[in-house]
Amino acid sequence: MNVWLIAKREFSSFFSTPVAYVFIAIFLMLSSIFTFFVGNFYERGQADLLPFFNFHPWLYLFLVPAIAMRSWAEERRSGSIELLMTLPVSIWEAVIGKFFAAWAVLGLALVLTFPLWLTVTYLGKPDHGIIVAAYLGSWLMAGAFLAISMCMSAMTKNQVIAFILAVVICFLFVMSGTAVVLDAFRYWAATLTIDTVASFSFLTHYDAMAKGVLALNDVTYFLLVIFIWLYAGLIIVEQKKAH
Amino acid sequence: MKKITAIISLLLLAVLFVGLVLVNNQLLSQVRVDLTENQVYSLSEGSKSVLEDIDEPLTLYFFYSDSASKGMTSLRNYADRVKSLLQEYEQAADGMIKLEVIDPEPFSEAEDQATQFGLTGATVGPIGEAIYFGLAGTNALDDQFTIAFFDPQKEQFLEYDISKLIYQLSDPEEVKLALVTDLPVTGGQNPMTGQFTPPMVFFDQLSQLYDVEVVESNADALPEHTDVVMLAHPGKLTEKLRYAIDQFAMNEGRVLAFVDPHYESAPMSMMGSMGANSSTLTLLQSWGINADLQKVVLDARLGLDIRAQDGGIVTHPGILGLTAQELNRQDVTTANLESINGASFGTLSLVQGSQLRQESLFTSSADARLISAEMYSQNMDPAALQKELDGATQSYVLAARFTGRATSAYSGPVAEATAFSSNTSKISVIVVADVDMLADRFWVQQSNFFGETVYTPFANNGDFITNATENLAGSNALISVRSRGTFVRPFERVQELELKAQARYREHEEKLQTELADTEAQLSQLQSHPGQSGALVVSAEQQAAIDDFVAKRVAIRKQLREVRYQLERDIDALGNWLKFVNIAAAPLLLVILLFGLSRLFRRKAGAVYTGVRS
Repeated sequence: MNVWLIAKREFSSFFSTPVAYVFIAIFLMLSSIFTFFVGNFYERGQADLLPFFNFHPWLYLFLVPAIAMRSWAEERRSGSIELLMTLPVSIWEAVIGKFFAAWAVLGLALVLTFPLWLTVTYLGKPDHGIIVAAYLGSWLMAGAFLAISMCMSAMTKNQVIAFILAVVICFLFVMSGTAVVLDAFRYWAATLTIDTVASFSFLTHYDAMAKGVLALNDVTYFLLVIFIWLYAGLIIVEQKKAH
Repeated sequence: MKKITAIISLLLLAVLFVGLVLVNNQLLSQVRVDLTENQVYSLSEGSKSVLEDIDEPLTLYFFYSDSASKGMTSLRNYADRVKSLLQEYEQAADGMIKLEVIDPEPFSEAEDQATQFGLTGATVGPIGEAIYFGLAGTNALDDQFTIAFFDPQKEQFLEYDISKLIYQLSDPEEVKLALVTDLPVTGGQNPMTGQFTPPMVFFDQLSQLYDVEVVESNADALPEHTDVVMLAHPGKLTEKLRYAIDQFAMNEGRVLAFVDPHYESAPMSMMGSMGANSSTLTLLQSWGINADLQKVVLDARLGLDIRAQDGGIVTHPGILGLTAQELNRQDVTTANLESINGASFGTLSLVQGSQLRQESLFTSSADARLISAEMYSQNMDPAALQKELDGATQSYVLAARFTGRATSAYSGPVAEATAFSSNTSKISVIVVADVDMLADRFWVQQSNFFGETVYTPFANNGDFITNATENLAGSNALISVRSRGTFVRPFERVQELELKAQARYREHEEKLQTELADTEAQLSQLQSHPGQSGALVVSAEQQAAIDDFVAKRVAIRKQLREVRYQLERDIDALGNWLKFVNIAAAPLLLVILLFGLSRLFRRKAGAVYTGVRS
């Protein structure tokens, strides 16, 4: 119950400041710009949203750390964290509540991209199953980005540092399936190690979902990332509380 | 102290994370939901049972020029789909299939390998880089089968093609075809002219692909290990052979039958004095298939032009040229055929109470009717047949695939025969109600090329016979793999605009082009006749007229350019409008809406906030 209350409080606080509006506006505009101008959505003439979903990892890479950087860092800087700790809520309730609130904002941003879905339905006959799967995949991936970013925010009082750390770590997770990261392992590691490193990649799991196939391992992977990084965040908040 | 505990906890958490991801990769990848409309990433039951029958491990090499095909969006999308499907096979085969994905870059060893397998490279680009997009498979015995190039046009049969390749690898024995016929398929002497005739072309083709054995109607048994029985207008079968064919159908179930109300390509029938030369195959009736061989289909739309006796050209409503429209686009045997020629087709249907399922392969047009075969055979004059077309308003099934449950024509074993099957649930019969389509003159042209006889097909009759045989030769599982939906989804709205614009452009252009031609003609006339007096000087009026025409020509040319530009304009306009809506209008509108909504709810949220704090 407390989780719900905290989530609600956090969610509405997003909308009492310009943060959520700016985030959503930027997300909507950038995703459309990428879709139309970089992904050549209109010129390629295919009734699917592939060019749209392809850019989500890269948008999240910068936008999610931006929305998450203040979650703990701000509370610690302003001292309101002391107040929060005195309330009759456990730390894990606070961690999960904050996470769900921000995840809901990300979900809302995704929902508001519906004009693009309407556009593609107007132009041709898209496979709606694929689009639904891709939206689900995108939201799950956003959750993974968010959990990492919130953990980074818990580590420092400085929002800028929290942002940069989050971007770097998220970048590693996005790229781990590509040559950029794999080349570092290629010459000395066993195949299983390389495969495992490759399977950390957000891109691999997300691509599979964006094609319309929801595999259990892709879904659990993102849930695992969310759970592990939230738990890490919890440990860090707990530890910092001592100071 | 607390800090150390925290660090240790984090480290443990990291280890746990890696461990869980490993477990997740190994265990949970099997469960998946395919949300695509046509289940394009899932294997059908047929393919799965083909995979179950693999006894020895196979290796599939998927060659795709990933790096050389940059920017070819639709091909890349298709390649992605093929790759996913192949991975699905690999996963479903439980370790019996090893998939290797190879990118044969130009001048690499991989490219040589691709050529060795016999894959086709499509050349693109200014320096002619080859793009490979095919599949090669090998089994433990080093048999090799390939799909030379995955043609996007054949997308709906992608799964069938791959399953077929896997089936061939797992069961590489040559197909044995028993051809039950009395036609001179292997060639021989023409009784009328005494001339030696070569084998029929369809027989030649089949012999190159399969182990074909001809069984005459007076034989006693089918050859051993027969995979497919093909019946082509056999005469009266001996009782033993008839029983053997019936039992073959009850056990193996794969029969391809050609029957005809009137086989007019026989030398005697061509004379026109014999009456209807119809097939007798009572077995079909017992199995539940009704082939009406008393009547011939006359079609008002599909009749082919033939040379009449008086030397003129006349349309013969009984000699039909079926086009893509009359051939089933969903069945693998007919989907890619363009035309089938035949004569005096009969019609097919199910016997009442039959438990078979009928899928038509060839149909007549909707303007057809039946006349008696006897009357047809007596009538040598196409013009007289034309008169019979009155009231031709029906469409008939000319060839069909029958699958399902059938009962034997016999109630018990005949004499010394021991094993007897009284029925089957998996019969698979393709019946064509015409035998003339097998005759060379309906589909190949014979010509002489430096002393060698060359056959050039002008209809797809031969392809159909091969397709049908090949399809029936596969396992039942393979036969059940049918076409799937296509993956390409164009912007229909844009295509519509394009068509409309093109029509408008053409109309406009034609008008302007004639105007331009007129103007130019007048202009050149004026310029070549400077003056009536013969003087070389152009009068002022003439000069004015010339100037006028030149100006007009410039104007028309400009208009033409304008029209050409307009062609693209509507499409661009739609694109720009959509861009504007999606990038600027919709986001702004939605955010403003959100702002309004949040103000509405602000008070309530405030209450929650203080509630928590207290």
